[in-house]
This record gives sequence, structure tokens and C-alpha cells, in this order.
Amino acid sequence: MHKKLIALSLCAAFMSGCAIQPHPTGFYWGNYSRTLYEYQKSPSPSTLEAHQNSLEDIIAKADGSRLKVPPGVYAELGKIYLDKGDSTTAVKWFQQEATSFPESAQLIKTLIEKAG
Amino acid sequence: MKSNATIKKLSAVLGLAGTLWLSGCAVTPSEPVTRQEVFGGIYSEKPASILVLPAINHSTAAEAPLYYSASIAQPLSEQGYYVLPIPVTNAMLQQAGISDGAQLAAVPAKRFGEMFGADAVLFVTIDSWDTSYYVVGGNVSVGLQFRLVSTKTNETLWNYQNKVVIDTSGNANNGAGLLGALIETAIKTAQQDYFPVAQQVNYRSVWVLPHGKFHPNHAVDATTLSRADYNRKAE
Repeated sequence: MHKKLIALSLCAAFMSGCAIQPHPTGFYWGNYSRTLYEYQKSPSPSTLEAHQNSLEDIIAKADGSRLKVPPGVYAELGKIYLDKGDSTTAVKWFQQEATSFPESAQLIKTLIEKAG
Repeated sequence: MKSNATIKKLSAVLGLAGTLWLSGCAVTPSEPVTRQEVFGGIYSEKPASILVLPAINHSTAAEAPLYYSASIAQPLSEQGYYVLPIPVTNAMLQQAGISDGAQLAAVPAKRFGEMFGADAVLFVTIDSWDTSYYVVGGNVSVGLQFRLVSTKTNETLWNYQNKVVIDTSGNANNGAGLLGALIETAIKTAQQDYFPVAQQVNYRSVWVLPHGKFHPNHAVDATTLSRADYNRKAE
């Protein structure tokens, strides 16, 4: 009986973890806010890596229809690469931001100039 | 004939009494307002993109601006707006030498528009961040002022002073007695994670805004009911 209950609750936890209920905007933020907060509170290579993982996880999970990459995520990932000195990868993500959100055009232009 | 007149009189008196009774009963009717009436500036300008500036902190909690800046992008984007990446714009502002309260307030919104291409700029002042603890729990009371300014006209599109109280008790006391409860509260106070509080405060503030272009209710929410104090200059 007890085992059954545990199995059931595990199953429920697993299922709820799996099915991401999309917001009406479709934006999928994953752990973004939490890892950004941790990084800003105590900047270190490990908190930065955790935040980068959040950004990459958002991009990996978003499929373009049901779940969408929210504003700024591509640009932020690009900025992390730029700060690490990888301007080629940085520019790739900056361009992706501009393609997804034309509202970012001017900011992205400035960022690409910086990278170049 | 006579009885007819009496009835007329009676019904007139009753009618008057009824009116009096009704008016006494009804809560002072406040004029219903729509989002369109409260946020006329936003409906006419239709800002699509928002630059969020670092918060100006007047509270005693030094970490409050950090909580705010990490948790504002999500609710604001879910309200339908393109939010410029805050860590990126904050770094650029810092490089430009404008990153604290007084400096930010001195820059005209138009200048931010030229620098970042945003349609509007969001200024936030954190007035208070007060934590209270009781024997078995506590709460956080956060006072904020939001001001959204058009970068095209320098006009204020949104002025909102909000006070949010969030219960941080969780589910305390499970029959451990007063001493147990005190110890539990002490432990919880030491370990209290305020980030979820900041997230809730931001959600409970920006939801009053009209929906932006990325939300399905964009433009069709103009007739939904709102409140005049959702967009009123702080006195």
C-alpha cells in the first residue's frame, strides 16, 4: 500500500515535471530568474555556468510553436560568449535575437559592433 | 376615486422610501473605468519594447534591487512586452557611467531610446522592504513605485505606487508547542529565501498593465475593467 502510494506520487511528480504548461505568450523561462539571481548575488565561474545552462536549456526546450524563447535570452547568451572572448559564437546568438525579435535591432547593432 | 388617490400617494411614499433605502444600501458607486481610460497613453503609443533600468533603492534592504532586477523580465514579457536583456543593458549603462539612481533620473527618456532603441523606459523606486516576524511566521511588505516613460515624447505612460504584503509563514507549527514554534521561526528567519517574494511582488504589480503585442489579449483588452489608482501619480 505504502509502496504503491510512493510510486504514484513519484509518477505524478514526474509527469508534472515533464509537461510544461505554456503561458499564453508561449514564453518559456525555465530556471532563468533563479540562476540569474544566484549569479548576480555571488558572481563566480560556477554561478555563471549555471545561468548559461539555464539559457541553453530554454533554447533547447523551446520548439518555436508551443514553447518560445523569450525576449533577450539569445542576446544574453551571446553576451556571455562575448565576455569569454568568443566573438564568433557571440555574433551568432546576437543575430538570432535580432531575427526572432526585430524590436532588438538597435541594441543588437551596438553589440555586434562591440564584438567586431 | 378617493381610494385611488390614496394608493397613488402611498405608492409615491413607498417609492421614495425604496429609493432612499436602495441608495443607502448600495456602496458609493465608483465610476467604472476601463483599461482604455486608465492607460490611454499606452493604447495610443503601443510601446512594444521596454528598457528596465536599475532600481532606485530607498529601502533598508541592500539586496532589494538585486531581487527586483533578476525577477522583473519574466512577468513583464508575459504581459506581452519585449524586455531588453537586463544583464546586458545594465552592463552597458555601467560602462556609460549611468547606473545609479540620481544619474538615471537625470537622463531624459529620449536619450535611452537613442541608446537602446526601446519604446519606453521603466523606472522603479523601491520605497520599503520590511520584514515582520511573529511567533509562528511572518511577512514581507514591499512598497514600490513604477514609472513607465515614453522615449518618443518623454511623457509618463504609467505611474503606479503599489504595496504588496507577502506571507512568509509557510506551514509552521505542527504541534511542537511554543518553544518548538519559536525555534522553527528562528531557523526559518535565518534561512528565509526572499527571491520568491520578489517574484510575486513583480507579478502582482505588472499585471495591471494593458497587454503588449506578444500577448493574445493585446489591443482587445481595452474594454476590460481597471482601476483609476492603477495609473495615478503618487501623492
